[in-house]
Amino acid sequence: MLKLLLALPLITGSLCLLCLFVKKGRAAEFLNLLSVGLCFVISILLLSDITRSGPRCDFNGFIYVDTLGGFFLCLTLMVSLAVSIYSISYMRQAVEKVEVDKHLCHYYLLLNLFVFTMMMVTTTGNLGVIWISIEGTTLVSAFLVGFYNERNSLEAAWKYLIICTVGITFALFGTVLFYYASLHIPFELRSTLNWFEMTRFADRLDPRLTKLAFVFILLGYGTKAGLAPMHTWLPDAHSQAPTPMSALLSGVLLKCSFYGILRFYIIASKCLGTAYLNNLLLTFGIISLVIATFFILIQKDIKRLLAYSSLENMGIIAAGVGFGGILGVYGALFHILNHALVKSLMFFVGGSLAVKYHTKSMKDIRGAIGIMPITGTGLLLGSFALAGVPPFNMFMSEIAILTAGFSSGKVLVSCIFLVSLVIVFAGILRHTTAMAFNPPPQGVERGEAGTWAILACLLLLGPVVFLGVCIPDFLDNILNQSVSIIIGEKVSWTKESLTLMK
Amino acid sequence: MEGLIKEAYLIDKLAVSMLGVVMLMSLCGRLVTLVYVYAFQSLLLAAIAFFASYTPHSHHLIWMVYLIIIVKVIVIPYVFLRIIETLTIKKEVEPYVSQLASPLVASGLVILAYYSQQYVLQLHEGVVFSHCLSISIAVILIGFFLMITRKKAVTQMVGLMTMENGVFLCAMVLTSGMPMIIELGVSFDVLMGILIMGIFVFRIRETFASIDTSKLNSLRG
Repeated sequence: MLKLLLALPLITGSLCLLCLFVKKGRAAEFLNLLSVGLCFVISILLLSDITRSGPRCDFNGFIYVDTLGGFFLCLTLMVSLAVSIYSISYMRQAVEKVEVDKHLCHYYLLLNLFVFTMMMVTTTGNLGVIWISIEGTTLVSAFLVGFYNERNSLEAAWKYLIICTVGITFALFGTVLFYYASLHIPFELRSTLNWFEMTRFADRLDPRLTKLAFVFILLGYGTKAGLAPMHTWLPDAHSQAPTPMSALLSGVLLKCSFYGILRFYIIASKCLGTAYLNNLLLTFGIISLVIATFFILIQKDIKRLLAYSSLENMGIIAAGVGFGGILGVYGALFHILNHALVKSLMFFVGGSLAVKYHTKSMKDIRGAIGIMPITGTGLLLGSFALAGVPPFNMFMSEIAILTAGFSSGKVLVSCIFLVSLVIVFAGILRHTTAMAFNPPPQGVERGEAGTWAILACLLLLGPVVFLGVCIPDFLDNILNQSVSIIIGEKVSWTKESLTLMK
Repeated sequence: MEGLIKEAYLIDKLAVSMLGVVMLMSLCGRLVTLVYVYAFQSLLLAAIAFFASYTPHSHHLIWMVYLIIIVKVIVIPYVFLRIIETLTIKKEVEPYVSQLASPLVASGLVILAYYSQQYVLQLHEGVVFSHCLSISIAVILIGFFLMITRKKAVTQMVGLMTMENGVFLCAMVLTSGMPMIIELGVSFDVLMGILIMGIFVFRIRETFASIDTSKLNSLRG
């Protein structure tokens, strides 16, 4: 099942290449939709199997999926599915009219490769392969960022490629140092970079080297995860990529990279304890949060606004792990899911609006509710969720993280966290309510985005509303198991303490 | 361990000369020279890999020698030279930090690397080849410095590859090589990365009529 899952995007990719030769763009569209849909179903089955019967291991540990990896795998494929649906509407109008088939086939080929590299990140147990796959995501998605081949998109793609490759080089150095830290352990025990074997002898690693190694890992993968101050590529890449790609970059790519940090965090915390690591994560998280807050207030471009909001949310997630404790880590993982759902929704809505009004400037997008009733409603509900308004899912995870913050005794940091959230709340709603309710400009006709685009938005809107009201048992189970992998003790029924708070 | 002393001595000598060559890169004023110096530095890396393959548990490093020679000494410099030749770009490096100040900063970075290792980490006892750790940190830092202070896209790529060489040095000498399959994957990624950057350099040149990355400045805020 696992091998089929990994082979599917590659097969579809080569079929897309075939479509390129026979010039059938539409065929590539539906092949892609079919394959990603199938992958999503398989990953759900796989995850439910893993939660019941334990991790899957194959190819001498090169493929290793536990609940934590499975959670990220499902997340990747869920967003990819929504993106595939949305792409059908969006890409047809976005590519040039002259060579539609060629561009569509290129796009779907790259999309499949991109999904494949992200799946590799989440399904491997080998820290070296994680590095290779994350570097692979950069290489593939650089083409997607520069897809339109214009001045701005090329600039964004070059920055993205260079900054992330430098970052990832630091991460490679960190990986090497982790290996170096195990040098004094007998060769037979340590001749591996397998994550689960390294966790076994983690307490015997050289602590000084592990500290240094983790700093490099955090700098390296943090660059790709969009943590400030290494985030400078993020707003450019997110705003210049085709909109479905922005959703994929923001929704899952940042998280895949954070997953890399988490894997090392688990090893390092066994060696060093959590205090040092949590402080590091907390520092980067809060810096990201505060920087993003200012940029959200002054943004003029809708996609850049969403990009800075991703920066803010990655800050929240890093801070969640940094506050530590069961509730903090649980909140961070839950926030990863919530942010992926909401941010994809917002990018889809924003993309449809930008196409309708022929501009990305928020000043000129007005009266969305009247002109595009469904998309406009999506914009409002999505931005409520993004701002953390109570009945929506992101409120739940933010309150969990905030509680963890106050109960960990870091009152000052928690207060900064809280104030930033309030400012972001005001900033986002100020922008989006203006876009929804201001009187519409002349000359924009009433009319919805394509059917597929609306379908994608509705599919995401469902869980956004639902998860705010209740957390289903199976999700709670998955999150609890993932938390116990990260903090190393048995955890169950965390959602009850969360509902009690509410 | 008796026989090892000779290899360790040679590796140390080679690592120091590699550091010297990297320092030389901060002096280079011409693009083509920079690429040749990079190729020479990779050759030194290959020599280090050769001697390191005689240390225990690292026989597979002999394959790294071939890999480095093919990828880093031949293919990547060839790609660089082709880019420079085809684009007929101006042959100067064009730094933000002057030619005079660059070596000074580079020496500062070397001191920083040694300082961090001896006084912050205090690794000098009980860890093998700790000398090489300082050198690889220094090489990575200088590569990084070259990257951020040069305007041309090609020079940035050379800086990046220098950083990568620093990481490889650390991986081969200090950890007696990562598992072979990982090294292969990493080399593949590096090679692909350079080729893809090359494609983008051509695209940037077509669109901007220049590869001066300081002109890539329209996205802000």
